[in-house]
Amino acid sequence: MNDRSSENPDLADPSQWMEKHGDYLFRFALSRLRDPETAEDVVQEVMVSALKNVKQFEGKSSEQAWLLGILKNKIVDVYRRRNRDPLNMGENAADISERLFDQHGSWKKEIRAAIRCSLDSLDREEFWQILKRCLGGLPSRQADVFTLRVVDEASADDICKELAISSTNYWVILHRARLQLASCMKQRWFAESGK
Amino acid sequence: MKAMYNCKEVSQFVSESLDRKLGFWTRVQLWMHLSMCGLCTRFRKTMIRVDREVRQHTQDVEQESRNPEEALSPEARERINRRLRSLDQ
Repeated sequence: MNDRSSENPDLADPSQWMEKHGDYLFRFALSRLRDPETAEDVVQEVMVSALKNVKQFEGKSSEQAWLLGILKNKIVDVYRRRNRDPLNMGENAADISERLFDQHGSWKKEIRAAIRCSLDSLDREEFWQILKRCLGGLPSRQADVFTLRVVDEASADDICKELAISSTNYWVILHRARLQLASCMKQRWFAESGK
Repeated sequence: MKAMYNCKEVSQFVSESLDRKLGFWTRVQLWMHLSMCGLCTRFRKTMIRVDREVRQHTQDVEQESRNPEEALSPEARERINRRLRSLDQ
């Protein structure tokens, strides 16, 4: 852990925040929100709100852990805000399963070679580099539901409440996200390795 | 018992199985399909790995156990610093 504030645990020092924690908070925000501009804005919100509430910092946790706690709340605010916007819902996008399966529910002939392609030879870094691009291609709401579920292990009930979606819709969104991500991985890797 | 699942249904149950335990007969049928279908077996493996890699990546970021790829742009850093200074006065 990166805990330089332990030199003076009782005092938060706002003038050092950006220097010490700015990049860390940014990377954390980016991993949850995926968009650099949004992540920058959220870091600013965190810093402003921390400065206004600096008296509440009691030195019980490290400065970084305190700022991270504020950041986590701000991230949920962003999820809420942007998922109310109908433009982000991606509901009008063609159903991914229609691109993958024929009318009998079998894999379409033209994608079988890609689906058969194994990703076992990819190490974690290589896998992540492709996955990052696939995540970027998901409609924002699908990616947010997926992240809340898989990364934060939030319960289905909480996610439905926070993002104002029905439970049926939740399962559909989550399944589409997974279908899209796995098939995107396969197809991208197939295209790259086939060259 | 319902007729065998098709590949589309199988992908749905595989996804669901990552979140909750499936019923007994669903698991039996899923297993039957997977034991005969190489495409679905390969696809299932990728679905499972995607979940794992996303989880692992964000944990690495949180615990700083991976070499940092990204950083605040100098412009954003300056903008936020300016904002903080303006509040400080």
